Amino acid sequence: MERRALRPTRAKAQSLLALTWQQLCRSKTGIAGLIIVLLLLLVAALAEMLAPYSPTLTTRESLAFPSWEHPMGTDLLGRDVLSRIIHGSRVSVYVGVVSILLAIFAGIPLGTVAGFYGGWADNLIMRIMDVVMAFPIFLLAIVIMVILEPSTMNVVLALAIVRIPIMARIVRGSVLSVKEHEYIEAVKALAQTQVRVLGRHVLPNCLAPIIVTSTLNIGNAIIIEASLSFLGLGTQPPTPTWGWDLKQNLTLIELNPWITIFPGLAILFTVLAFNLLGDGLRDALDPRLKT
Amino acid sequence: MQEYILHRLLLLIPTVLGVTLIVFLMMHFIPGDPVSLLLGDYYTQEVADAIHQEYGLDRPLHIQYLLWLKRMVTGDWGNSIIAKRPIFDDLIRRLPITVELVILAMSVALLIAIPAGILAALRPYSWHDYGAMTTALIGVSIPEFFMGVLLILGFALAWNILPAVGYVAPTQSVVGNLSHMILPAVTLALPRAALLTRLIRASMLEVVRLEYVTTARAKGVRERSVVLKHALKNALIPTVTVLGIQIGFLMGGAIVVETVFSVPGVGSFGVAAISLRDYPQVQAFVLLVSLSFVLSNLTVDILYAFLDPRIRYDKEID
Repeated sequence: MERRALRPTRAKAQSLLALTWQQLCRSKTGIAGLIIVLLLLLVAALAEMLAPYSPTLTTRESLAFPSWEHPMGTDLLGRDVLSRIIHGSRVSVYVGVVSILLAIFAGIPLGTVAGFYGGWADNLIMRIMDVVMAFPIFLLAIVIMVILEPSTMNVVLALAIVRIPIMARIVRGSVLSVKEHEYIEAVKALAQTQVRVLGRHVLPNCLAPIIVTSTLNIGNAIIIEASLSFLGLGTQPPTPTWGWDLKQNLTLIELNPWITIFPGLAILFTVLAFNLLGDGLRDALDPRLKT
Repeated sequence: MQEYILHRLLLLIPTVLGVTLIVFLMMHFIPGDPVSLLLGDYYTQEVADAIHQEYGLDRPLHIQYLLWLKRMVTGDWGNSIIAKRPIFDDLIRRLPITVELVILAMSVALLIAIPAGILAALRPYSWHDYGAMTTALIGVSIPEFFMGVLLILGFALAWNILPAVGYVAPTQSVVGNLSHMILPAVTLALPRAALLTRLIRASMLEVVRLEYVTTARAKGVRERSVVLKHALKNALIPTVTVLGIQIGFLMGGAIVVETVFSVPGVGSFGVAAISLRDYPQVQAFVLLVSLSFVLSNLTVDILYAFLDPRIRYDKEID
């Protein structure tokens, strides 16, 4: 009996995935985004093997222009810019993905409790979320970084905290709309426990907006991470980050503009890839939002 | 209407209390005693105790909060640790510069986004729709500081038609002021323009399908006025809601852009305070920016109620 009960759920989950995949394949830009994102993950994972030099190796060749030896030139300390960009992808991708995952894990229970149970719990949670959202996101991230001291782990925490209200709101909204459906009524009539109703029947139907928002938010989180690094409030040297490198090379822009442009382009392409993928997923998962 | 505004104003009280509470607590979360930071090398137990007493730091936390709130309301924002100058005066002097930057940026963003959004929506899936949408997608994916770098490279270094960094007061020279402000304002405006273009296109596409637009066309109204008068007016309503959030992004973005272009506004004040670890200044900066965000959101909400009677009605019911 137990196995039987499990099967339909699994089959449904697969078909949702398959359906999404089918829809996503129709959008060329979505697929392009997916490919770039996958390549980026690969670059981040294999940074040590791919980078031609060590990102912290200083040489006498200061501020060299792009050449065969150094395809993106060298910075003031003679470090290879390409190697620094390849290694810098680690921080960006890590911070972007992990902070959004943390925000989802915190936002789902908060939003579910607020939406499913309503009443004072809803009021309390959503009022606290309102106060957090009363700050501009970037300012709040700065405040948290000032309190926590700059480090990669703390950037992840700060970016997770600023996203929790957004995730909680989305989950609450979907739970509110899903819980009125008749099939939830039917499941309740079968006297299933509340946790089971929530986990099996309510939450899986809220997945689409969570996935779409998360993908689009990863791009934005990467921009904020780069901005924090740019202000010196993010990951600290010697770990290479795109934002900090851009800031360092900015003062040398007249001598060698290339070494400022390449880290910027790296950020641009990464964020663009996540946004393309997010747009593609939105069209695939939520036909209502299609314009 | 009055009832709605009153309701919205009442909601402001818990928000402002919450925001000020977080800003107040921020100082308590910072590791280390603020007084020993303040005294630095001059630290002695007696002096520290005296300062604790003077600022009420020996009192319970909620009393401290109320005392602090009272000082903030009366404009006594304390002195900066390093320069030992009144923080309130410094910030108020810099505020108009940031306000000018934000207003210029918002105007540029709307000047780009409204025509671009309309053009894209008029011929959906045509080449200029794809062109506008691709540009917009790149626009939302580019960080402000990189946009600033590209503009400096193009307009200041390669073509040398605009100054790269710095600031001139409008009282000194209006032309000088605008020529220094235009690059930061455009930098700040372009990502916003990209987002608003996407939004205006989407809501225009929704509105032009509605029956009243067809009616207007059937009556023989000229196409130009169908688009600009009938459709655009309603399509802009959702844009107004987003303006509130955008102002928040603008103020956040101003922090970075002012740093890139050395504009002496509130943002660069904050960045300097953070790098000097001048915590009273940091706190004042955070308070000012977050309160102006709350107030601009309030203004947008009330504006929205004027524009869209349905909202007013819904909110009055519950």
